[in-house]
Amino acid sequence: MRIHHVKLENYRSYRDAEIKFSTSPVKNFTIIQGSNGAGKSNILNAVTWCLYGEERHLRTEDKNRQLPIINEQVYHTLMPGEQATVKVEIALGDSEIKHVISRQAKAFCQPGGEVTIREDTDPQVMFLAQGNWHQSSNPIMAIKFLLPSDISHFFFFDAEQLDEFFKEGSAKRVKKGVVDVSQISLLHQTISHLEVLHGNVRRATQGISPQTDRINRELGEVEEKLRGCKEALSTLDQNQRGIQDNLDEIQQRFRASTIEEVRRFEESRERLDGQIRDYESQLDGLREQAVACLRETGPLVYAFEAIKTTKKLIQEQVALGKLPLKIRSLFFEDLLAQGRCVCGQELAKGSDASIQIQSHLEKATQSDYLSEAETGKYVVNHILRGTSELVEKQRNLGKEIHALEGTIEETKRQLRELSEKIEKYGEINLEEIKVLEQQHVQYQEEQRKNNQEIGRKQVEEKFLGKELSRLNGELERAVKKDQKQKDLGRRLGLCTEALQALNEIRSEMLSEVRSKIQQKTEEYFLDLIWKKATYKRVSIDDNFQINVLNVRDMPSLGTLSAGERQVLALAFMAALSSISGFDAPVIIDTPTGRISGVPRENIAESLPGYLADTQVTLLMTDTEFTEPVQVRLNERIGQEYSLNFFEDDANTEVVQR
Amino acid sequence: MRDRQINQMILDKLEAKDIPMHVKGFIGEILQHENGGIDQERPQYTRTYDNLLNKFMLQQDEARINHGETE
Amino acid sequence: MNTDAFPEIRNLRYSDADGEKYRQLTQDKLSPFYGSNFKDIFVYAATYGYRHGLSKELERPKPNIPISAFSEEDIWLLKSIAIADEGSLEILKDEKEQYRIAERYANGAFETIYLEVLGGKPGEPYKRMMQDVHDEFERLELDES
Repeated sequence: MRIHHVKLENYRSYRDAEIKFSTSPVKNFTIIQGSNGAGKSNILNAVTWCLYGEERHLRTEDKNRQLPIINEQVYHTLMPGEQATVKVEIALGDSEIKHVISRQAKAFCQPGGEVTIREDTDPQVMFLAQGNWHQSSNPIMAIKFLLPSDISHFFFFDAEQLDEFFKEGSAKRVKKGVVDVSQISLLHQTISHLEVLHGNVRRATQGISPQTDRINRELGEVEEKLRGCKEALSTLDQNQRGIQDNLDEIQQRFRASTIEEVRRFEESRERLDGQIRDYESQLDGLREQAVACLRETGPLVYAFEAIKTTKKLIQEQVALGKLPLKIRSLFFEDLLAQGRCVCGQELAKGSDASIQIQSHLEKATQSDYLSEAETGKYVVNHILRGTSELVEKQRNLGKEIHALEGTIEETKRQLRELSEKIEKYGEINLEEIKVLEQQHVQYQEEQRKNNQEIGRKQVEEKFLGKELSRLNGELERAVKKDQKQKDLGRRLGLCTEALQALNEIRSEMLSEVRSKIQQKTEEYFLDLIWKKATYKRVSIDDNFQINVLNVRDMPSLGTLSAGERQVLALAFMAALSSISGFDAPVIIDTPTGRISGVPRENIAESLPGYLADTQVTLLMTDTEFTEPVQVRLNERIGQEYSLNFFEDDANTEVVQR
Repeated sequence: MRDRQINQMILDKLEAKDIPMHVKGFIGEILQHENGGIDQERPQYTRTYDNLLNKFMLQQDEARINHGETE
Repeated sequence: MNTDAFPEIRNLRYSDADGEKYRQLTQDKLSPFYGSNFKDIFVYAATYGYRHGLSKELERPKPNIPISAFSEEDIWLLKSIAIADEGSLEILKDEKEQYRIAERYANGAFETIYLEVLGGKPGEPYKRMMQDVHDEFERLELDES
């Protein structure tokens, strides 16, 4: 989807302006350049006002001065009894315009000279269908399909305000955004409606038989347990986040301590923590390998004698000349079917020749088990050859695991020693340090216990989920037993199967979308960031908490500079845009406001690649749109404008370049 | 009027599911209805869902007849 | 090949009461069978049962392990057990009986395997099981020499 044009009439600093946006697939960038105060942000405000009735990016000064939405000059020159119209119009479409959305406000000068402004409640939406233009009877719904308000923050944004997104506690907003953009919210809605339907159908099965009543009761119990389990998990997750926040805070305080000794302790602790995390990750990998190896090796070793016996018996048959088989039963069957022997003699039914062939056939059929043994010979040899190799592999894995576990234990011991040192230091020098350290130890212990409980609850949740499936299946079968209720049984079956499939799809989507966005955000962030040696990873956990990890695997979101946060925001938005499956135009106000020099040029270089299939509009200041930046964006710029604000008549002129 | 299609990722996952055709069809249509702005008032959406249930049960019957299946 | 009058076997069986335990073995994160199929448990139990002479008739058999899930190697492990059990290749004539023998060994050993993994013993189950496999192999090597 592309914006074709935006027309502004008496909207804020724009008396009468039209901006045509580039709709070319290759030259997909539109640059609108203006100094601070020239009216750049008002373009973004105009778009959000027109679509959603909200001006989201009002500058503080405008808010403070409480400037009306109508152009200041027009406002002041209205005579009593006169009225003026504020109008913003947006044309949307692909290669041609398909929708024109407009919103108006009317300013009326009262007899007393006071100007009142009344904004229209709803916008007007015109759409093209079968060559004719029609007015939409439900403009709000129409806009919801085109550019839903919920997700518009991800497509129309002020890069400097994006800070909010990455502050602590932003996870919920991030998750909601991702869920909406990828339409997982559509799945939520569908599932919740389908659950109501399923409930209705299940209620209709009450009273059919004692069996269905019993199953319904059990279903109710399991559902109750599952609800409790999910609530417990949610609480535990929340607790863990709280504990982690506390741990991060303590860490920050140590890092920021004025005492060098304390800062050094904390550095060492972070280093050791990072090492343990790495080792444990390696250990997980080794365990997985060892367990997979065990599943293969165990049966081979336990059946070894049996395999050797089988081999011996097969070899005996070879020695007796019974293997390999010379004649197959199929051969004799064919002869009898054809009615003629290979020697040419007819094999009439009941003839001596046919009886003889029949006897050969019987013998051959009896020895068909030997033909199976013939195949088995190869498999059995292969198994025998491979066994000692696998056992050796398993032995080696066992040794590696043992060694790594030792290393982890040793590192943990060092960590404990360090913790004691910190506490002792605190005792001697600064009580606060001692207290903080004790809290640190306590929180870590709580975290460990919580993780165990979470693990248990997750297993319980999975088990209850499977119980639910089983009971639903049982209910369906029980209902169908009653001939009169067959249809009801089938309705139940269809609902249950559809619910299960949708739940699975939703679960997979959440996981995949999160993982893909993390991957892309990390890729773009590490590509754009200038301190490449400092940052290692971007993580987005299951709760959509974003973090940036430094080379020691320590969370560093809180210590990112404003410019670095801006890069993270841009990287995230670009990732979301590419993953969302939603084709929306992107407008970014001041994309590199807090970034300068080479990093800014890098962004200009890379951003077009991240947003290749998207219409991108950048509202940039002169300091942003430097010559090096221009050079890098040049190939992709389809339209370019500069904004000149004339204070005398409070008007911004839009000049095409 | 509907420019915002359902995310292809969702449709691909539905297609890849190892479930009977009539269940896929049912899910596909309820998703389309939800995306098309199904009325959120309960009597309305449950009526739509009920109708779709009936439609796809009929489809299941037809499929069975075509394949000569019996219950 | 199959001269048996009965239709081709499509599923192998375990005792009904063990169904839940099979599930637990594939769902518990500490279990070496976490995330794997029932057939992996079956093959492990059957071969273990053969080695330790643990064989038991099934009670209320449930045909829940599709044969299609077994690899050719798995099948020949089970066939070898049956051949060694009978002492002759002739058991290959009777596909049904081959699998029945494997089922009885798996059934006989299952409780032992289950307790080894989820019986609350201290330490990690996979390590104990790995050790057992090593010891067994060493015994075999000694026998060879």
